[in-house]
Amino acid sequence: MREGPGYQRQRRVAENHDGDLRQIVLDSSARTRMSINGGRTV
Amino acid sequence: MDLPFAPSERSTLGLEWELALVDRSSGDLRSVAEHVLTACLDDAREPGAEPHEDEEHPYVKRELLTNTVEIITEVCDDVAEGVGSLRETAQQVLRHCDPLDVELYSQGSHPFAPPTEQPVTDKERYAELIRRTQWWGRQMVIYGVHVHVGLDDRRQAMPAVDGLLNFYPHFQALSASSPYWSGEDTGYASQRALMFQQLPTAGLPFQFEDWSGFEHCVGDLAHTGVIDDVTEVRWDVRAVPRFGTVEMRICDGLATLEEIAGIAALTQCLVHSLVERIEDGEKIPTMPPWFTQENKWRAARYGMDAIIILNADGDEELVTDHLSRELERLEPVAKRLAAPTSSPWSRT
Repeated sequence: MREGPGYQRQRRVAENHDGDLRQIVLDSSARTRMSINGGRTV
Repeated sequence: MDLPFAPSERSTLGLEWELALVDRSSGDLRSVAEHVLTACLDDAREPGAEPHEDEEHPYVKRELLTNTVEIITEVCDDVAEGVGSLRETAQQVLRHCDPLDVELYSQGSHPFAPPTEQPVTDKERYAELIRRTQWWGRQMVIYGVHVHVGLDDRRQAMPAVDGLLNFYPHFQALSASSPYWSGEDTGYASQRALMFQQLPTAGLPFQFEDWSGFEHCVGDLAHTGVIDDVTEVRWDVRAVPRFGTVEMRICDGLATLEEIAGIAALTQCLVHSLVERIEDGEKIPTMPPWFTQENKWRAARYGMDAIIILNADGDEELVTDHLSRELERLEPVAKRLAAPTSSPWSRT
């Protein structure tokens, strides 16, 4: 898998930030902004 | 009940993207949809035109909660056009979010926001929904992506629903993005899938031999006051008579337009292929509802690791293995429809 679906990424992000679930939202919304503006999202 | 079907051009597309409005720093939900909707509407209005009551932006819509907007497209010929339209509208929405320090977020659920504390949009239809569904209705902090595919004959509609249902776990696994709920890891890949079905007209659809069976069901639901009209049937896969489409509503929210393109392409190619098979006289195979229901649960629980049931005989396979084979089968269809053949989820 190059990226994996959202649930896998969310668990990885939470694990990398000591369970801070806020980071999931910040990570995902940053990807959304980048995608909307035509940047790379992976 | 007579349900007139407005035929569409075959395999055209309509896309819907539900987005939460979240605080740029805290990540918490922000109930600023009215502000964003008004700003977008002001942009869209003709110069000099007066605002009027019940005016709506053509592509930015209200939702149940005031922390949510939905972006939709017109009827599009292909995936590129649909995604391009979503992008253009989303850029406009983002411009109005920036001064508020708000970002857009689309996953199946918000990971930590307390569901019952989220304000509901001040519209009678939403108030009625909450009055009726109570605690369950107050749990709907969920976001999805919907894909409409045009059908040019209503006789295609029920077999198309049947055919898409066979791919329920594939769509669910690819999009699953709601493992956390109210601050807890649920152990599921998609909490949204199991939450949304708690509403009385949501969840897996009933299956019908033909259009008249669907009409009969909707007539029964209207007669007994379950619904006022067919738009309140919120099944995970449904026919939409006024648009002349089959609508795939299985997917959790998707963070990127690249993922939406992949899901839209898969939906479009599957429906196109199903319609060709129907025209060739083939009967689309179905599974008994206990298998369809189990497939939904397995994909919601295990995501890409789900071993799914493939047919009425109960043959099983890992969802990703079956998906790989199906993508290969659909590649010529994708080329004919100019749909993307690479996936954001896998190596290409």
